[in-house]
Amino acid sequence: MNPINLDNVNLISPYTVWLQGDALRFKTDYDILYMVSFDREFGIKFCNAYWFNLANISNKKSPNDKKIAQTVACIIEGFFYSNPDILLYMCDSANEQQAQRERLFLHWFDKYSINGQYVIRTACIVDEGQENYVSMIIQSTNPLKNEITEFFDNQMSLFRDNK
Amino acid sequence: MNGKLDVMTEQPIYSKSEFLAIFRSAKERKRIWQEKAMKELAELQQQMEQEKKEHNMSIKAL
Repeated sequence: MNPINLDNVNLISPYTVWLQGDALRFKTDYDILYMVSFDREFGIKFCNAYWFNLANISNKKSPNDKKIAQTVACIIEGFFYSNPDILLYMCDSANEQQAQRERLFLHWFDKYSINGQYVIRTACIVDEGQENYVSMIIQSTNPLKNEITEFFDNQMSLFRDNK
Repeated sequence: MNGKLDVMTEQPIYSKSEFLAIFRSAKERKRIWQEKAMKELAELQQQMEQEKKEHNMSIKAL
């Protein structure tokens, strides 16, 4: 993965983002530390895909904080600026709140990304009785946009109606 | 992008079990990553607490 230019991210991000080890971090006004990583998915062979991992590692409940969404949007924009690839996101299933997290993530994305800049697809994978929400994000300018979205839709059709 | 999408068809490329294996592996990697990060932070906080205690004790001793 090409490195994200954090100087550019921090020009517009409400929280300062820094790299520590192999993960990005930012701390909120409520003293909550978030970590972000991009995990290459080698299982998908035909193109570069990365899982976007976001975690509150402070073990404290985060209050409603708009700046988190804005910071995450800045990081994602920074990723796509350097990497014209596929971003995958899975919602944390802790406390069975994954559906709510998925809605929140989509809401963040709709609110803070420039309209039409990205194509996002979402699906639910039921695995051993547990619902797992997965999103795929690509730039709308991606020359393989149609093929990639078709791939995602076809793969996810396997899980539709629990077939 | 190392795109080689000429294999794209209207059918899924991976079977359900293959795709589930990809998904489960990613989920497990995320779980390990998150646990490791939380452990590191907890250790750092513990270390800071200990340093604070030692600092307070040395002030009292003065």
